[in-house]
Amino acid sequence: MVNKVLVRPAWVKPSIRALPMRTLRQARNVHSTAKETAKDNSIETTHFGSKTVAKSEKEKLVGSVFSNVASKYDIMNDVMSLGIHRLWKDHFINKLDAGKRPNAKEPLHFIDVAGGSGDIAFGLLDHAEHKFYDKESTMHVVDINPDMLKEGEKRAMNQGKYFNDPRVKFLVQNGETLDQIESNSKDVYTVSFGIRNFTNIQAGLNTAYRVLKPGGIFYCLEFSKVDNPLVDTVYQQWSKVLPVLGSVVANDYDSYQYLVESIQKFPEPERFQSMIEKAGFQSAGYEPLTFGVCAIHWGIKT
Amino acid sequence: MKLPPRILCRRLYHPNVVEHQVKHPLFPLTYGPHSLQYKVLENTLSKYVPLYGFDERAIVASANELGLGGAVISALGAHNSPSFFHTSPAVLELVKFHLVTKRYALTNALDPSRAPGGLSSIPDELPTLEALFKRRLELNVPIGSHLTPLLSMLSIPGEYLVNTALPELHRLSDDLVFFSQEKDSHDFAWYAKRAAISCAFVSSELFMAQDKSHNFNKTFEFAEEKLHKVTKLGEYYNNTEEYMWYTLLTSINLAKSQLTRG
Repeated sequence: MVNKVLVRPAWVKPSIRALPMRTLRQARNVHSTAKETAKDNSIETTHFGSKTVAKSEKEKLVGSVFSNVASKYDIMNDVMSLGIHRLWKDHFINKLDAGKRPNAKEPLHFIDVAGGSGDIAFGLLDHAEHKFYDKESTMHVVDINPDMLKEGEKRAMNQGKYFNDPRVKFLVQNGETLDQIESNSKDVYTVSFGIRNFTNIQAGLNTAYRVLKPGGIFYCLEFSKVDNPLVDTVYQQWSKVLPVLGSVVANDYDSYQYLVESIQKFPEPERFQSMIEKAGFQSAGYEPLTFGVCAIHWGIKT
Repeated sequence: MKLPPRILCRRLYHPNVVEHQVKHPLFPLTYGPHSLQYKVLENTLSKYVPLYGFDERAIVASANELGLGGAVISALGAHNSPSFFHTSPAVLELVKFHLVTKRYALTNALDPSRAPGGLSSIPDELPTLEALFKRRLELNVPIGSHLTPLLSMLSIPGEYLVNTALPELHRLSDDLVFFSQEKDSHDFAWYAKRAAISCAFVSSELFMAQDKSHNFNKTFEFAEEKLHKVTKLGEYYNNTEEYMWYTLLTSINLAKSQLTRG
């Protein structure tokens, strides 16, 4: 197998299908190895997971793995939510309706926490630009995982927008502390499908309150609890299928098993609302989407 | 599906007290008179809506004046959903604020729970329905020139119409009856009366939107006439009902007497 890869002619494009499917964790390990080996040009071959490949091919292969993982992520999101996650995100952005209005004095300062992939962050900026001709507002895309941030940067680069843009900054930060973000500095704090993964959700909410300016808004898109018992029965059955789908489509059973479990463990909307209020936010509320599969929560710092 | 006994034992036929607690003094608004939202919207409504109409520019101008950031507009609209036909969730909140605060302003002096002096400051005699109806229309005078877009926003079919515009109209007509001398009944006429007053109010507002007369004099004439017609219609209905009931009883008695005679 190793020899096959090594003797492949240069014109043969390394196909991802020729490689065994890997979990995201493995892929990330590979990425860090690639960076290390890139410094040392004297080595002709290098590691690619458990295999040895020609160095010249390495970058391409890593790139393929990442684009493969990213595209699988999108496909998996589509498969798991039957494409509805796009509607949720669109609704989230339209409902927030943020942007510097033409007669407003100051631009907005956004922070998108756990937003490594950048879809909400770029969506918010696009919305502001298309609707209000706002090209001044700034965005901090924050994620605890540097690899996810790289995904966002890559997406920005591919779309030719928001990459190397002084308005958009990518920062590796823990959402529970946000130690590089000043207090009272942000207007809009968004977190989409991320707060569920915080170790201490309350600490994350308290930090959100800290970084927001008075008059700022906390806006969160997260899985929730289905109200209708009939729909819930169907939903619970569907949840059992998700890890299987994960293993078939992305070759990753465990991650999707974790996803389902984390959704089940996340507090009910009323309780989460009271947690938002406990952090100090006023006028907290939530809007269930698609029978409560998902919900938009908000709170205002006054 | 196995349900835990806690859920099975829950009383579903009787709502409990907590469910009916009014959390906010300006229900259905989710903020009180001391909140940031109230401050911004009050300032917008009194100063900038007469200038710009029900528009985002009015809210932004107000926020600029109060020295607030641009996120306020998102914060205001958080409770509303965007829709294809509506401009912005924040404007919808402004419209809701207008409807709710004007309704409360109408009955502030008549409601013992809200009147500044409590029960003692309530007048001995409640105003007539017509007086209260006209007073509500008078509250629309400062924004008279912007009524057309307001009414069109309220009448667009959708979630906002069902969740805000219609319930608020119903609450208004309910208040108009409850806080006036108007006689109330406990049968289907309870609904009919409120529906009729709602219709009269909406048609008066529509008239007001097109009215160019001095101080909207013609609107008040129209409202008076409309309300009079509605009351008269109610009287016609009651008289007819009474006559039909009388005829029915007489016919039964007649039939009975004829049958007894054999």
